[in-house]
Amino acid sequence: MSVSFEEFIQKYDIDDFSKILELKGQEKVKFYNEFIEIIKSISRIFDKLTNIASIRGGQVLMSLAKLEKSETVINKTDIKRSLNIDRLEKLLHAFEYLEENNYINIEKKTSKFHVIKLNEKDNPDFTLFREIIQNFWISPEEEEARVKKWRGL
Amino acid sequence: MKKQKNNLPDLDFENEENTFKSIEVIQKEFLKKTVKTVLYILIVLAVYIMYSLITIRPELFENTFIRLINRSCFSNITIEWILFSTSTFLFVYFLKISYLKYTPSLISFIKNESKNLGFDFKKEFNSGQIFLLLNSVSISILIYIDLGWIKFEDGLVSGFFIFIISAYLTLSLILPIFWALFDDKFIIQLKDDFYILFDFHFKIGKPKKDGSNLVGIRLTSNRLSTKNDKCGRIIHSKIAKRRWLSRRKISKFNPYLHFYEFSTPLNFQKQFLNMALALTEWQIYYGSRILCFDARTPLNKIESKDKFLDYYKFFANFR
Repeated sequence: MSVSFEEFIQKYDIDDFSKILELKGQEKVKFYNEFIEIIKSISRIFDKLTNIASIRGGQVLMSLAKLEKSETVINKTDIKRSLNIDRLEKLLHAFEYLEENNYINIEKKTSKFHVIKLNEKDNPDFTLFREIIQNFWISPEEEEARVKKWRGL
Repeated sequence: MKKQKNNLPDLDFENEENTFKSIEVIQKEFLKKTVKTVLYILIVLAVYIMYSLITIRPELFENTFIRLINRSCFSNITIEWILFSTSTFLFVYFLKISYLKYTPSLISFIKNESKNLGFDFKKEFNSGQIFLLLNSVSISILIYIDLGWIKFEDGLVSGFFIFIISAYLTLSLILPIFWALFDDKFIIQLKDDFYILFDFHFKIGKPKKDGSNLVGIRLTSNRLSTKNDKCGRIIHSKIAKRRWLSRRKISKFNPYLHFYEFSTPLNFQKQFLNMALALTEWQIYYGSRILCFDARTPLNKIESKDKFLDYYKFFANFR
């Protein structure tokens, strides 16, 4: 079963500062268990990311998770742009590896246009991964834009 | 491995095989550069030794072209100064070049990566120009003295002039040498007051398949503030911890704070942007001094969270 950070926040109204968070007995145990489940899921995400053999694999997964927030259709070029990579060839090995390991699904619309999705069905931890990335991770493309803005470009 | 337009091999660190090949290319280029530099050093030393021999044992070079130069209208001081200053500067310059671990392909790779981000990676080795400028003035003055265009009748004025010219000659050599040692650099200028310096590291031995031939790039920011500045120390520490910046110290005697970062060619862009954003944060927080409103309080007390309520809020906005 997938763990969701957003559901956890909503369930206990953690982001509602007008209410007092009071947990007693069974409710506190449940809260604690759910919190631990989130931490365990994060730990499995670390484990998964650090064991991806393709050098750019982890970055591709993060970029894909981030882009899923704003785009409905994501292709390889979107990921390349988001990661600030100059040539798509640099990412081909990563796509191949991630598809082989069932981390992503690639739908070949045409010979050149491939739609990519995060495979949350086979990897339940990817739900929490996607939430964390979408809320807290800054892609290289965003970082570059931020530095350029600072430089006044 | 592809070749670039400028005939340099295109380095590729995207997989193990290509990384190994790229490291081999870097090491070969470095070896070539070192041999060339050592050769230059030997030539410079040979010239200097030869001149020393001419002045100490002139009979050895009787009836040779070298002797003719020595008997020219220029005094020994002028010729000796030209040879001494040039050979001393070139010796130091080549030693510095051989110490710096960079190769044309590696520089070209970093240039492309920076260009991709919209930054201009520059090799600023200005010591040679400074040496030429200062030394051409000193040589001109010495030639004017030889030709008799500069001469003083008054002993006192003459003594003062000798003192001034000696001081200038010394400075015209020391300044470029110090410049070569401490100020010749690889740099990306971010803004007027903000820049990042680069330093390359790799092992010179034969490339190993076990991956121990890591090519590293050390990034160092410009001076941020003095270490005595409590506000600077606090903000530096907060930003460095938050961004996982390298905490290595160049020297205990360096009185200034800098940001440091380490990258490999593969994650160069990411680490560079991390450093650039650290400098962005530094400019905002250090300039506003919001984070350290009580610089007189002992540092360990200032670091408590209640004194930094705004900090977390600001960084939250920064995401």
